[in-house]
Amino acid sequence: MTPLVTLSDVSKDYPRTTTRRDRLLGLLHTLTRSADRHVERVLDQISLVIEPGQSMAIIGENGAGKSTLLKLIAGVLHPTEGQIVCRGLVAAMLELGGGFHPEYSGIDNLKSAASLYGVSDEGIISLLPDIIQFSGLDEAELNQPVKTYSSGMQARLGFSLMTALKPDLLITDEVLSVGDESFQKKCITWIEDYLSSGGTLLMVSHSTYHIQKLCQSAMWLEQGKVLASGDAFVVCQAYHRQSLEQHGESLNSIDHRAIQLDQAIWDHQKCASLDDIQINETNVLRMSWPGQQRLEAGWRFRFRVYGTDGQLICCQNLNAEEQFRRAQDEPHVLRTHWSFSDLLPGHYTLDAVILDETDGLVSNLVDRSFRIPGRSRAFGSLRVAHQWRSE
Amino acid sequence: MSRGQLQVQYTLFQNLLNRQIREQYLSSLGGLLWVLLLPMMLLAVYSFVFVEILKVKELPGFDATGFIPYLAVAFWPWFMFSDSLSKGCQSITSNRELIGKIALPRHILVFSDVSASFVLHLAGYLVILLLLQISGTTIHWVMLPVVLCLLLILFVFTAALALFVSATQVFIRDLAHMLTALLMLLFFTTPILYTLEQIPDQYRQWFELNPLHHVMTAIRECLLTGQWPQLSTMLIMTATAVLLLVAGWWYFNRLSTRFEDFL
Repeated sequence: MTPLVTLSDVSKDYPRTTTRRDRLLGLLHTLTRSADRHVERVLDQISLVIEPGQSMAIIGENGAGKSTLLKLIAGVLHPTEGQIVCRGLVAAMLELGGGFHPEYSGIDNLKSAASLYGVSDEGIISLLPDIIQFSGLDEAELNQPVKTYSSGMQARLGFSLMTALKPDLLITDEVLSVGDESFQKKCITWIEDYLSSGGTLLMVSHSTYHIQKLCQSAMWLEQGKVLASGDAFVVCQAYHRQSLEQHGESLNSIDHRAIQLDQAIWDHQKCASLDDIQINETNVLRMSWPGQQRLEAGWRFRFRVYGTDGQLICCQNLNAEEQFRRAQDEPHVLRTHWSFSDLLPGHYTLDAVILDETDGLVSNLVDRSFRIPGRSRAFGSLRVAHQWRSE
Repeated sequence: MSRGQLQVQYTLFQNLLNRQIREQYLSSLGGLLWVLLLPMMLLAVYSFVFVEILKVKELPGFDATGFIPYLAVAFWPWFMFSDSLSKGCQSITSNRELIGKIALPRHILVFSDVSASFVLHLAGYLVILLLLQISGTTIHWVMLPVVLCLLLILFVFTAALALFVSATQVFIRDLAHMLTALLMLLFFTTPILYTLEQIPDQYRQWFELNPLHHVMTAIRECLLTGQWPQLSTMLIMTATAVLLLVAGWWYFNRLSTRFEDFL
């Protein structure tokens, strides 16, 4: 299969332009194709191949070069070095309201934005009903100028256009996070259908939930370089671990007898918030939350323990249904007893999530590193009962 | 470039052209009237100054036509030129939002801006010619196709210059201001308000280097005296315009790879 996008050793420099002299020099350098030394490298030697049907996320901190990379692939930016080969129709939602004119109505903007993607006038007219239906905006709203739209409405308009274009490659940059919950769901369902019908996705997102739900692979950028690339879950975990470390929240002298878990990540609206989560001295992970949060049939808790290298040590599932549906309206507490005495000294990660019936992530409960202190002459993660006997 | 791509670029161009025309003229108060009104006001002011105050009487070669028709016939082509050049200069910088978000061939932005100004002023031009005819000036309508050819040459020439200035404007923001002054200078050094014959001999050869002078004079001769332009002049003008367009194209594409960095 020919790849949809191929990047070979692509680098991008941005000029440090402050004075008129810099700009004039920039002009001369560009004209003579000589190297401009007054620059800042934002992407450094990135190579990447995207096959048709692939879905990839780009993660990293702010300023890591994620958006620049997307812009390069979308053809909005030109690389300083290296080559980009791109086949097929690329539709990119790089920012909110991309290509929209604030003074024009929603309808007019849809028409002119579609033409920017090379859709003919007749084409637009036949696509319009679908676009409008997907956006969920009513006629009065569509006849208002786009400047009166909320950011959510702009996202609706933009994404609806993308759905109608049926691109070979869809690029989105943090746009899913703007719409309301029902529209986000609609978009995700659409992207899933799009992917299953052979579409290709490249997205930047800070939502682990979206990435793990939509992407097979992920690339982690840091200061313009690829730090890790591969399976979406593994890369996200590694990224997550590092960002926790950077905030100094973990790994520093946490005793395994009193693992302090801070506020859990509870990023889904189905349940509002977790009000208490802690592990007591006897290694019980205790989570309690108010009664009005409903756990649906078919949901389950999943607990996993990972070693330092990202290797799964243990995965335990618990059906939420049996345990919690009895007392739906009362505050309930979940206790899980964990004995880490079989773990060898070292660093580990515990993560606990709630999954729905299709294995979609409902909520991140816990994602924490911890340390088992001590010394051991054995290597690995687990202590296995053994005896030495010479005969 | 494949045929499909050309088709896409054409659709894009058409759409931007419509957008431009709507945005600049039709949406504002008075609509299309502005295209006529503003040049006509200027025409009135110049006519008043030159005819009533400065008492310009002789126009060698055009004595029969009078000052107002003489000026009007060259005035609108001048507006096509100056208006599209000053709009074209900002084509890239004013579409910063679009360029940063959608991959589109940037030269289309320049061409659509220049075309929009040409189309609108051409409409105004035809109305003015009609008005002149009604008020008693003899307009040689049979020469209109030749005039359109001359305007096409002017268009190519203008588009070429617009490619240069729009690309340069991205890097050197003062250019737009400089251009306003330069256009003013060019207006007074092009025989629009006067004829070439009125220029003292020692300066005349310099004035003849101005390509606009040749276009304006040819248009005047066509419409007011029914005289065909010299073939050699036409050929030289066409060659100059095309060469300039090639150079402008090269310059623009060379710089366009870094537009986004400097916008």
